Amino acid sequence: MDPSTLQVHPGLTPTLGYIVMIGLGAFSLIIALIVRTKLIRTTRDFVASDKRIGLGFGVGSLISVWTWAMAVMMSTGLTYAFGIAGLFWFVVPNGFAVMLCTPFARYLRKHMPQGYTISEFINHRFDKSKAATGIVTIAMIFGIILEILINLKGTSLVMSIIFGIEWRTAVIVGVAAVLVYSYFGGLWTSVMTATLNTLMITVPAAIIVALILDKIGGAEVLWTSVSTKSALNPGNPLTVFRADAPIGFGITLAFGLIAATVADQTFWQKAWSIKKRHVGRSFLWAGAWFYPIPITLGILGLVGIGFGLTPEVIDPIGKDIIAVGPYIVSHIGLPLGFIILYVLIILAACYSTIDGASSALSSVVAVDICKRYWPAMSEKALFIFSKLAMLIGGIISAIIVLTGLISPPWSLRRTRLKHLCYCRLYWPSSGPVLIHLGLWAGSCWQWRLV
Amino acid sequence: MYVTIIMILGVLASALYIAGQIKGTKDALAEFRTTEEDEGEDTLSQAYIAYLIVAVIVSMLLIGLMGVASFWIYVPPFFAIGSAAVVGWAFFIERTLERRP
Repeated sequence: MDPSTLQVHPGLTPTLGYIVMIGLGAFSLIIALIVRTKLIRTTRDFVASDKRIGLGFGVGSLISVWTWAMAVMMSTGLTYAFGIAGLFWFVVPNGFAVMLCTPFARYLRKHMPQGYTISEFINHRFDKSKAATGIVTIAMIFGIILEILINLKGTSLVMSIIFGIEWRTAVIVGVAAVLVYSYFGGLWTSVMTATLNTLMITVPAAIIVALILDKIGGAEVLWTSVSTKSALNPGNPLTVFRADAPIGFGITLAFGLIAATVADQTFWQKAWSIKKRHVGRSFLWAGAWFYPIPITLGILGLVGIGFGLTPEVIDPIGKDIIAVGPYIVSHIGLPLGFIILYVLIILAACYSTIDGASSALSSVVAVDICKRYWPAMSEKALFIFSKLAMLIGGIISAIIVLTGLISPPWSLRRTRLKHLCYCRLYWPSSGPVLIHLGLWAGSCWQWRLV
Repeated sequence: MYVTIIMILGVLASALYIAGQIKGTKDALAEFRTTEEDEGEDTLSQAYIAYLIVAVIVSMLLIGLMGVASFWIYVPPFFAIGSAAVVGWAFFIERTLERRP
């Protein structure tokens, strides 16, 4: 595997990049407009699909919203940095975190069948405590914005590496493309486009990896080349028993991922929108069948090791390990159509997550802010506020990405919220002392690891 | 040969997926016109913990075995296509599950 054979495809121009970004947005907009005329009558339809999402849409959309743009590239990047130990520590907690939602989702639907948001649940469990509900609502909004901006960041990175688009322009085009179609359709659009995006992530990922294996002469060539090299850290890249992966990121990530699902309105909105009889199965299948996506794309990380690529080569400015996947795909000599297919995997992951997060934000604003503080608000006004929330959330996220202001305490709040949710879900008699012990112990644990 | 098999399976899984999504969309539209609330209980049996454990173990094995022999590197793309097929299949079985008492 000779790195000098890697040459960028000459057909990858910024214009083509914009066409792909806007084209996917336009396609989703057509779906949104159809959904709008056929399936949206009320705010309840807009934020909760009238609680009529079936198993297929449930599983498909959950896989898609959990497959972040960063996750697609991170599985490749961490394999490249730590070998299969990196892939192991990235992937295993990821699917587990979604499956872990199964008992919680079933519990919520059983005990609060008419709910919409996790803040509502906290309000119910904390005897209508305004302080507790307010804190959770704010944390939810921060979490959703964090979700949007991480995906925007990932997309801008891919578009700048593959098409040479200026990353700030990619952020603006990306957020505009998603917000336009999200604005029109609400949760039904989010679910339908996200389900379609799962198809665009799974099958193309398999085809791209198969083509690349074929291009380098097969898995035997790759395996032999990798077994003699290590990308960034000393150690065997073909064993899961490397200590640097769990110490470097694995343990922290595992805690963070579990927190991310349990304290994420994007997931709870789905829990309350899927038909009650399919809730448990949807989460379980989504977690289980999410696994093959990052495992498959992780193979590209091994290809990076096999070629002996360095971070300076794959991303000369940022030296970011997650650039390895886009670099390999755009340089290994694949036909242009397959490179675009790879870009569509990343964009599909990005758009569906931003769309899902925007939809979750609309439910938080409608239920936890508008309905709570202005209960007499008309249906029309509520509808408008729900939609405006999506736009404002997207714009704020884009501004944060453009200015580079990303604050670590956001993830801390999510972990605290997780502990709070655990305690109050299964131990309703747990007093304030226990809750606060859980919150602060969780926070200290996370800080220590970070 | 490997690429051809992946391509063929990919096309078949995509066809199942798209057929499923069309069916799911038609079902959603049909349900939208009714005012009936779906009050059915969750059909997932308590044995789901076993499914969860199996999924985690299979994923761990899939990753770990890639370091044991080169053959295992060929396997994950089949599972990725399997993911698409399972989602497509889910659209077709959801009505059967809903008819269960």
